Amino acid sequence: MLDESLLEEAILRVLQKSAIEIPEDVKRAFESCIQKEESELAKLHLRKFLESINFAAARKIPVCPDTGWPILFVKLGSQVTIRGGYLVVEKAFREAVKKATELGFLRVTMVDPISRKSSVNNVGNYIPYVEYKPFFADYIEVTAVTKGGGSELFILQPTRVVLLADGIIGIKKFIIDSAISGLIDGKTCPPNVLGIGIGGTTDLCMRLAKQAAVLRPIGDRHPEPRIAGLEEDILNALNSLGIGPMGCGGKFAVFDVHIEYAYTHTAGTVIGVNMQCALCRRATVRIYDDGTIEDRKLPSWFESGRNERS
Amino acid sequence: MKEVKLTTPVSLEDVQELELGDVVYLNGLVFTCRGLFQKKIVEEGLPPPIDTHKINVMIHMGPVVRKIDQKFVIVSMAPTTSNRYEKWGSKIIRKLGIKVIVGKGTMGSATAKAMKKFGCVHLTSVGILGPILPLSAKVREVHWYELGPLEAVWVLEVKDLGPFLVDIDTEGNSYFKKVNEIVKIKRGEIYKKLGILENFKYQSL
Repeated sequence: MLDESLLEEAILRVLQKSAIEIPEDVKRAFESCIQKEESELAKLHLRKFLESINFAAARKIPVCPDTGWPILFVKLGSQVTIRGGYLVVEKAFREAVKKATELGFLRVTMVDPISRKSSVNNVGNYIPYVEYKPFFADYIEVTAVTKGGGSELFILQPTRVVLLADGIIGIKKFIIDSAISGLIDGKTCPPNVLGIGIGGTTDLCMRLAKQAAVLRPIGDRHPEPRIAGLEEDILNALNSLGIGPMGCGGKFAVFDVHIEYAYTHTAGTVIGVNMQCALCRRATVRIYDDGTIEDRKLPSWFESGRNERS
Repeated sequence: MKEVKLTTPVSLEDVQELELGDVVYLNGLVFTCRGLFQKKIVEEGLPPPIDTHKINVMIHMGPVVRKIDQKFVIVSMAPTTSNRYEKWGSKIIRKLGIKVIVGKGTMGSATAKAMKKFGCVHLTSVGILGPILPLSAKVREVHWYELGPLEAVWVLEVKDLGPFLVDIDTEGNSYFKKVNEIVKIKRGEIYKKLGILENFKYQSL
């Protein structure tokens, strides 16, 4: 049985880690791109990125000053019991975000959208943003994503409806155009991970785009060959534009492209696009029913399948 | 890549010598600001809290600062998206006599025009170097702290702060425009590869 203080401890740990440490798969992506880039400037961008990443981890400093939106993806194991029930989980999230801000691991970034005033602790209406996914297990898995403003805000048009008359060409064109709108001038801090949602309601589509951008490791391919093929086509296309790191020219505008899709209404298909910045910040922890806390290298969000509500 | 060291106050000749794509390191006193500072200067007509003709390098940036033993120490800092401030860019250059603006990404045509007229350049971020940039900076003064630590004006003494890339020169030319012209041509090529016809139009409703 888990209690609030244990949950809070684990979540604080994973929030801090997310702000400070870049995941191994992302570091490997930087290293491999340095080898493959030809332009001196593109190499300089990536080398300085890596130097900064290593320094942040060694000194336990946020790797980007913009620690952005606190987002939590939570797989709720059905065999876990929590003292006080599931409401305690939500409370632990809010307290952990407050504490991480107080300790200086999260910058005070969240504000009221109208008054622009801040609660000074990054907690407010609907924030931290939490997504839950129930599944069969004796643990809770929490992935913390600290998501910067550039990658989240600077795609000109992140969604549109594509009709039967537009076909697959309409889907591809929208993905390419909206990705480019964010990548140029380095607005979304490339090389990015591009997440794409196809189908579902407008909100589900955008959620899938975000999950695809932030939860799948770099190099991962969708299990269905037709979707994996589309991922590769878009990836190759975006990396042949010459946009390069931080939009300054070079080979790599994106580290990877991930697509998730949902069944849609026969009348039309919503397409959604979301970016993760070069400093793909995510960290995952499992909290077992017996109280063990275990750091994980990668989120297992999609491992339990794609059929259920996700 | 040519490397250049600039020291404040930066002269007109200093910036006129800079070329697109040069890699710049900054020395001397510089100041930070975000949107609220620029709004107050341009729209509310407030005088700046510092002599911007001497401290004439302005960085679009909100640092993460901790107070240790009564002293402000910067934990993390990196330039933020400059295009957000395009509305005020040209007036800030004219009014404050700024010679160098540092930020992430670039600025628009109105600011580029002012850069040509008054002799100013824009430098863009190389990577995102939040943790390592503070190693080259010490806090000297803070003004308008009531705006909050992010929006406040921090005067920093910097030693080889960088690297930054010259992306708008004193002729108003833009580095990103050149990159984006190539992108435009290649975009046509990938459309072809993906089977997107030139005259493709979405069905309107």
